Amino acid sequence: MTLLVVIAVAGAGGVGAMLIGRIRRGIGTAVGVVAAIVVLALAIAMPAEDSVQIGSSGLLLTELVRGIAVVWSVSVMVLALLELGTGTSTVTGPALLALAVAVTALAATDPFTSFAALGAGSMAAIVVPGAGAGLTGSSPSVRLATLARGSFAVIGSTILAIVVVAWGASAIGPIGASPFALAGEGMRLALGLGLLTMVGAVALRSGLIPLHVWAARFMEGVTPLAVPAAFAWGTTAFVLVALAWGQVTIGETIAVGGIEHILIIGLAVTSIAFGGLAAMIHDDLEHVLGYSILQDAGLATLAFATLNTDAVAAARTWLVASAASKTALAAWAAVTRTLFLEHRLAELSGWARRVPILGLAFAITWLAAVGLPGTALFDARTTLVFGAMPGLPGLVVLVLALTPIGYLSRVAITGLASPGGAVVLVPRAALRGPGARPSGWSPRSLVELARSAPSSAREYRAFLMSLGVLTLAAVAMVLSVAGQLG
Amino acid sequence: MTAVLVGVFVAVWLGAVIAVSARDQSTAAIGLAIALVAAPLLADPLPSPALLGSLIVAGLLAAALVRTSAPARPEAVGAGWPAEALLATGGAFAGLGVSYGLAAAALTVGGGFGFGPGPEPAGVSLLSAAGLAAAAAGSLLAVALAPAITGRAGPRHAAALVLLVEAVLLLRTAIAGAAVELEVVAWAALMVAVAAVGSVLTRLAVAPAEDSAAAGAAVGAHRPG
Repeated sequence: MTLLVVIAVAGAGGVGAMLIGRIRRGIGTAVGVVAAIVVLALAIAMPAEDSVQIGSSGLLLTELVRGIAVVWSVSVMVLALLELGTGTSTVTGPALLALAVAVTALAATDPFTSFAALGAGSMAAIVVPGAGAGLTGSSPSVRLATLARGSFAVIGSTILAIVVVAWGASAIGPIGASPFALAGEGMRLALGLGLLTMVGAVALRSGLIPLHVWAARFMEGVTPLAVPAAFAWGTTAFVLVALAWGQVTIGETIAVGGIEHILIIGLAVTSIAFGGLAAMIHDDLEHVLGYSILQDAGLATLAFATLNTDAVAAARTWLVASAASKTALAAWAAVTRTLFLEHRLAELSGWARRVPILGLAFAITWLAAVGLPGTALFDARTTLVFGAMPGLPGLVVLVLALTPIGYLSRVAITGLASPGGAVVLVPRAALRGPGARPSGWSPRSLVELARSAPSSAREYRAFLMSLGVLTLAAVAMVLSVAGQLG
Repeated sequence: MTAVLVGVFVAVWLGAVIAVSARDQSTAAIGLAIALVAAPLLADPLPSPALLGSLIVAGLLAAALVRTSAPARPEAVGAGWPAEALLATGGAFAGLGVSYGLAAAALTVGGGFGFGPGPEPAGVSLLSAAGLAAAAAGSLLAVALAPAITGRAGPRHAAALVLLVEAVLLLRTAIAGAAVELEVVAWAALMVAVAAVGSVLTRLAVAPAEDSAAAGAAVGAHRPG
């Protein structure tokens, strides 16, 4: 029953934060933070055997569901505080709502519920940031076209997924058909087509190349803080549900042989190669972030090419750890853009030297995103690649999958260079942190300290926001090293 | 029971045609509401009152969201009601055909999957709840697909998006059986979310250009470069 309360609190908190935030931004964010704290406490305290039976279906708590609820609620808390610091107002509500539907989708015992819930939640995560505050710098017609494209991609992927799940559960699908029919060549073809349709839904939802235009336009327009809920975590939940369905309905016998295997690998490798390349050549932070998320999704898609237990477990580890690292990267991009009023790398020379804590947070994010041999994330990457393509082709794809070393190092090198461009235009005083505390107790009363808190927060905005990014980077690092949640 | 189901199907068909072809937005919203309220009744046995209520309330809410998203002024429509009615009828026959084919394949041992023709599917009924649900799904798909994909944002586009979701729900019911309890709640949420998205897109489309420019300038403060 606690699981249902988690979903209700996250959902109600998300809706409340969005509605109140339209009138009073600060109060809306506060509502979101309180809801995220309650969700975190409940997610930690949930008994291991917690489940809810609703009629003939139900919600089942797994360690993966608990882990995602914990990590995501922590992320929402930090993103909400960064939202206040960066002056945006459309992050906390959709992120909480997306958390509620992701927990519902991952805990639901039937895939229809999962995909319908994910469709509903993803729409909020895409449209609210886009329509409410972001997508600036473009004409209204471009903004409208981008949002229409984005919402249609989400609706389209949901519809594709539900139709293929319905086929699977029908009397002629693999679940309902007779064993005699299951052995036929026609059924083999139908299963292959079913798998490809589901992968198509995944490609549309996560914006894999060549279906990436809507995702790229969306990510370059909204605040980077809105990207984790819409893409990193949203895609993670969708792919996890699709993988679970694929394992049960399609099975590895179909995935490993035939043309489906080659097509899925082709789609995945295209996104891995061109996603990494695009992240390397683009100069603005939003594109680096967007294409890196797309590349991560491409790598996870390789699990559909085998659908065996090892690949699916690796995909689970990869998706959760990479979503956490891209949340930290999104937070870093938002804070950097806010502090230096610039989003092009060419103008951000020396950013890390000016705000060392932000530099430290980025270094940890780098480590979490790339991984080291022996860490869970690195091993998951290797398993996914070599599971789908053993031998030399796998080695080539593994090298392509390591392009984060290139584009993240480029950002790091820019940060360590001599300050220049927009960085030197920002006064040092605006970026400083609190100095050493004078010895002894503060002579001021608690009331005075409380009264001075808002002005202190404004004064040390850069320091506090960098601490937020550092927190997210630490969470990402833990997941990158420790691995899967369930 | 069959007569009642056919009557419900006609209501869905009629509502869908009105929703996408009426020039007056109030009339179109009423058509949408009729289609969305009638569609959950295409089932035998009917869902429990709570589930039925959830879907009907979601349908009414979706229709209201679409209706309130734009100022009440006549909107240019696509091909007109006779063409839309013809499309919906064609879609219904296609849906019936799909339902019949699926039922026949299920009755036939290995039918359609490489084992050659089986015995005649004598037990397949065209006018069953599943068959009529598939027909209604075909109707909705036929009238909603084109405006949903290619139409410019507006009340008609929003109505088409909602009808598209309803069509998928009907199709899913026709080929995979009734939705379970939790799924119905998720479907209701999805329908309302899609209507809300359609409403947002409509508002953006009809907003005066100066408002959009002002909003862009205000938000531009946090998006330099």
